[in-house]
Amino acid sequence: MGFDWFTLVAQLVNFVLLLVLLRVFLYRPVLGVMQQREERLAATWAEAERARAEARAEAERLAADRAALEAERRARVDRIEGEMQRLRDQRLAEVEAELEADRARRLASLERARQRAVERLRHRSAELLLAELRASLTDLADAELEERVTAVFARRLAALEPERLEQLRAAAKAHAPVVTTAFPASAEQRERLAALLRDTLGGERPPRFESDERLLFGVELTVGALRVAASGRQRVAALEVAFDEALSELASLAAGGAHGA
Amino acid sequence: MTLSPDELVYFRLGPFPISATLVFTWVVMLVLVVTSWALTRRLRTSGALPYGQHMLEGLVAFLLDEIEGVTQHDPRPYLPFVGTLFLFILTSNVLGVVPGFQQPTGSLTTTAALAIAVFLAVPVYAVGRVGLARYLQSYLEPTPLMLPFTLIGEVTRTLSLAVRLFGNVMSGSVIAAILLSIAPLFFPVVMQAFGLLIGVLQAYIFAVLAIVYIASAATVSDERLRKAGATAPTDTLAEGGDT
Repeated sequence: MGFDWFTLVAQLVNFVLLLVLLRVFLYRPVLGVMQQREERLAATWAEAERARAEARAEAERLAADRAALEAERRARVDRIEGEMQRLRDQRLAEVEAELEADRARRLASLERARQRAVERLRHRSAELLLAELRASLTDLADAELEERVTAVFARRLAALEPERLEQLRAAAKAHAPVVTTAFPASAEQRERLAALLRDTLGGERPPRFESDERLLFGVELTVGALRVAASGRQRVAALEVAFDEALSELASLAAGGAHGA
Repeated sequence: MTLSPDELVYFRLGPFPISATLVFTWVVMLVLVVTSWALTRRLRTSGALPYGQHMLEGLVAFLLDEIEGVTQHDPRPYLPFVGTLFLFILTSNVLGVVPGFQQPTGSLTTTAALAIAVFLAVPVYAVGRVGLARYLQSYLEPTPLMLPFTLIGEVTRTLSLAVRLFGNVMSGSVIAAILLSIAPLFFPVVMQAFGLLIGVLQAYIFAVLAIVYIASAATVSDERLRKAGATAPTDTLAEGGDT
């Protein structure tokens, strides 16, 4: 096994030549391409990073917008809910007021109806009572009663106050006295009444006699606009006035009690 | 049986013998150059890359990673030298499985030439990195008394590079030849496969040792100068790189 120096030098030259050739045909183009691709990747990466940053910024902006919209929506919802609550409360108050007013109206109506019913009942009771009284007085009316009532009429006429009596006398001068009885007066009764009127009012104008069964019993003297009565109608009328006053007083007391309740 | 392809002289150019070592070295060079040219003709920078481009970029990326892992510097200035060493040795060893192919790395002259190339590349890269004066000054560190030992170390490691590669490749060829004569059917195939593995490993080892020597020289010089208070040099080779 020898050692050839020429071959050694030739191999060195061959190696250097191979190095140069590979540098030209292998390393330089491959490294160049890798460099270009790395630069392109770096550019792409930078672009991606920029896009990512833009996307992140956009996402943050959208998130902020969304938050603002959400806050606005919540504020609007709160405002609407508040408005709805206010309207509901207001409407509820109105309805309650209407109900209260309606209830008051109904109560008032009921009260009025009750009062009217009570009033009608009282009036009806009074009417029944008066009708019964009138019927009783009518049934009881007779000549004897007429005589006694005529006596009462004479006492009442005699008991008139002087002023009243003077007014009657003055009226009798202008108007003929009209004597109304429940039953057609008898001649005796007419004579006695005409004598009484002559004594009391003077005899300038003879009295005119009329009968009216609505008097129930008794006598009524009408001189112009003046009247002196001692009759069942006058008694019933006085009783009716008294009834009316009593019923009115009861009605006022009942109304006061209802309002107080 | 010949132990070295140097002994196979095909013809002579005057006083210079053209041995199998040179012829098959040219074959290896031709294979490498033609393959590189064919694969780098249509390199693309976008879209789907061709398989050949993938392979080349993977190979170059592998070499760059290995160099950077050792040097901790920009690997591109070292790529042509270390890559050529690796590819030449790898191709020579792999083509050894082809019948009739004489591995150039089975010649001591070839491995010696490669070792000498490494021996020369070490100061070239170191000087290129730290400058001639600083590189020479590093031989005197830590004391001038160490200069002979440093020089002996430079020479012996060059010899070890050459002999290691030569011994591994030559021994593989010899063992295959011996087994072929003794048991020609099965064992030579196994040993050829084993030799293929050894060849790949030796290519890797040679390349890594070369870059270790280059990097250590530059780094030691750099460290010594830094400890001496000198300004750290810049990556001059990187700045004037091959890209």
